[in-house]
Amino acid sequence: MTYTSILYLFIFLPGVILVYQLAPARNRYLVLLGASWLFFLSLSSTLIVYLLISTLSVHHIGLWLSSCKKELDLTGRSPEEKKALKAACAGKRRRILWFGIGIQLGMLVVLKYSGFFSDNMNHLLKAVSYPTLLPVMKFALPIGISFYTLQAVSYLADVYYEKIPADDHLGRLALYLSFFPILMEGPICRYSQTAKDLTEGKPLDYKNVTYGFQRILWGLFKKLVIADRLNLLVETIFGSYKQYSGIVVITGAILYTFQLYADFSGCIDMTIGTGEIFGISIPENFRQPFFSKSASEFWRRWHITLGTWLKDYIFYPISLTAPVKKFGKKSRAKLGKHFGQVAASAPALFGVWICNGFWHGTGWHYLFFGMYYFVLILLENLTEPYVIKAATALKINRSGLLYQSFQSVKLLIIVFTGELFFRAENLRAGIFMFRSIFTDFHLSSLTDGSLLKLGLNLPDYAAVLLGFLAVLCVGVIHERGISIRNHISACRLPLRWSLYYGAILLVIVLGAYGDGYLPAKLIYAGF
Amino acid sequence: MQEGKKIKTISFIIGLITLLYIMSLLFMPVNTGAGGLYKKAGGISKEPLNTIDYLAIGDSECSTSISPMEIWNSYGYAGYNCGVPGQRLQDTYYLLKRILNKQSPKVVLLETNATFRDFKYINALETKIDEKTKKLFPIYQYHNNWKYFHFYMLKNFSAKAIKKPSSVYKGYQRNTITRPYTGGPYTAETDKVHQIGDQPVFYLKKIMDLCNKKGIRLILYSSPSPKCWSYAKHNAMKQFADKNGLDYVDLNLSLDRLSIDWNQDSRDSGDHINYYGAKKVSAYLGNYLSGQNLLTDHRQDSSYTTWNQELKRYLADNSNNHE
Amino acid sequence: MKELLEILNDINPGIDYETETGLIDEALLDSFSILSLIPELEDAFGITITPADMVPVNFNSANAMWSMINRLKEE
Repeated sequence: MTYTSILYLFIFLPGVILVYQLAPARNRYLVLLGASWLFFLSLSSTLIVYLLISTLSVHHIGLWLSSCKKELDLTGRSPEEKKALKAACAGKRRRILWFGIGIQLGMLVVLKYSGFFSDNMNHLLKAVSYPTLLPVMKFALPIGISFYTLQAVSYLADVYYEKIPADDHLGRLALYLSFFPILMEGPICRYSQTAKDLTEGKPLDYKNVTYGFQRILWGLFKKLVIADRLNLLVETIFGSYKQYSGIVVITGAILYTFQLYADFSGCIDMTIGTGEIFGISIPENFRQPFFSKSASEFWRRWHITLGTWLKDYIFYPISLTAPVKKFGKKSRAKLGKHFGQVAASAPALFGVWICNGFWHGTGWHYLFFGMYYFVLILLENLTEPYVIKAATALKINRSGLLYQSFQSVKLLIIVFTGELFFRAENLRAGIFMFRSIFTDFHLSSLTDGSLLKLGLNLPDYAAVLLGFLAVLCVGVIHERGISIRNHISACRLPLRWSLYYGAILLVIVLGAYGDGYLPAKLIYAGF
Repeated sequence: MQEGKKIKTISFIIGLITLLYIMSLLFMPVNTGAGGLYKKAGGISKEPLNTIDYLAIGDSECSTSISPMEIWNSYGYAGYNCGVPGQRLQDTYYLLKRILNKQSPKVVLLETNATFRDFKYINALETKIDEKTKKLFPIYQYHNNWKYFHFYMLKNFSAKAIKKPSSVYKGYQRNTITRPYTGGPYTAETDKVHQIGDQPVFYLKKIMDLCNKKGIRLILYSSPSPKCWSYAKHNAMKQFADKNGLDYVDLNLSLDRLSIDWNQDSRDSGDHINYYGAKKVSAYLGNYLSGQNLLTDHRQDSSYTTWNQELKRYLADNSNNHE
Repeated sequence: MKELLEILNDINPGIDYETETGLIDEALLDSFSILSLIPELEDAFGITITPADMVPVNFNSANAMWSMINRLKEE
């Protein structure tokens, strides 16, 4: 059961809404929790044990972290004693935090990465002709483990930093980790963002419900009309990559990027819409990323919740450790302010991008993807003052249309290249594909019909183009800060309803599902 | 919620249902029936009644592994490959049931790979709901026909559109893409048994009963596939076959006799075999079928002349594409 | 406070720090500016900033930073 199935959309979700509304307000969170666990069971059955272990351990360790602070009794102690007690308490809390994070990450690492490590160790052992090899263990992954683990870690860290109080409400924590719309693909929510809404049990509100369904419809459009149709072509090109080169590979990289965006952001639309129905506000995950002008801006607008998670729990903590601070001081003293600052940020940035790469999965191409952005963003920071200087010297207007378009095109090329490696079957395939763009480039591929042999025919391309234009228009309007939904609800009923009916029909007719289409999985649910 | 809003919501839903119903009527007429995944297997509906001697059913491991024309060429058995990519066992059962209304084969070859597909009751539920929705609102099933609207319009505009002869021969489509499998031997013997789920067993039995009832000999077979096959799965299948008195032909254990060459015979690094592999498997199974003495040679039969014509096309097509 | 404003203007000039209250929320200061700000603050005021302090409310305005600095001085 995924978010696009009939079972989910027309039976599960309406059923949950109905039971939710009928239940007394204080028990409504139980309805959501039951629905979430049912949803989890339908996808991963018995693997729910891992989720339950996560939930119980997070609950227990959060309380432990706060109790050992509360037990600290400083009354009537001398200043030295106070200091010693405080330090002992801080040390104990740090150990508890690491223990808690260890449990969460331990499950993730064993389930998700042990196959990768044993595979690579075996390659190494073979290379040195060591006689025995490690057993290669591959585990089934519970759905959403990559997402809820990050949520669990953020909760523990926030309790540790005393940004939030520890919660003794087990049901609320359980729901925070497993709320069914966010289960498959996030967004990665913070406890402070969703927990309160989740247990409040607000009654259904007409406006919330209609807005919610609107948003779900928009998500379905992106996913079914654009992403799943493009899937046919992307599978063909990346699946038998050796047969393609030049423009076909470029097309593959570009269309995969759009597929990924439509797939992921479409799913997030459905998630946020579902939250809206229940009056739960879920953080946005995308902000028109393709209008960015630099790689770092792109990552502030694409998969936002992963970016901020990495910033808060990897970037700052690494930056603020004593050795990194010391290194920063030294490099600033030696290299001067600008270079010193860039160098000082490098260790934390490296940590962020290693984590970003590995989080997506176990493959060297994911690691390459992370390192690619690490280098690019470092370069961007390094060259920034010089670009400004050069532009001023050459009298280029940096906010002018020409310069801005140049930046946009540059960024798009960076993104498409990154996604080529990201999607490739492995690093070797990625390099092969990237090289084939240049070694075998013929403009004739555009006109000789090669592009029609990749699984999409002309009507398919027309449907994709229509979807693309719709997404582009909505993006431009949002970029200008205009709320489309308020405009729609201000329309008169006949026009408004025609719009809705039209959109529903469009999704049903142009959606790429049914005979002839292998059901396409949600891409990010696999990470 | 206020009364007015309730009424609005209900009338919106009623309006939507009406609209879907009307649109369904619009999409039905151009129903081409055999599209998409069933494109190849669906061709069997055009075969004359009760002319097919044997059927091959299963998922893509079936559709890629048997070329009926090869067997016709050597033995004169009229067979049809009804393998459907990604097919689950329950769908295989329903497909077989449908085909048996029009055909009365003596032998059914069931490829075993789908038995080990991840079965969940929830999937069966989803299939059922999908089927119901298709019946209620045919637009859900035939929505892809918007493409044919376009196609038919074009056709009317230009008389040039020539119908290309199909490249599918009795359910088999030639595929010569070669991507070697380089993983080395994969058939080391083990005592482990890969458990078959309750639901696949349920549908295996249903297929078995159906064949029994119609007096069809059911033969299980496993296509060579280093990626999908394992010895533990073989053991499970063998147990099932022995318990139910079925023949089980596991081609993975006869690779030498088949003379499978993994450098040449796989189309996707050991998942499916390509045309060269299918030729070998077809020859082997043809020989196996003739050893069973169940089927008759129809090559000289005047009611099967179209088969000989199709064979000519098939052979010509093969040599054309060899260059 | 004057010292703080000097530091801020030095790191990222062109912002009216005395009135701006959305330095982080409106992305006027990115994480790199923050990162260069921290050692400056630590040196100038003799404080230690920990990850716990890295929340937007502490950096959204010069006033907020000032109260964070004072709080950290006391600890």
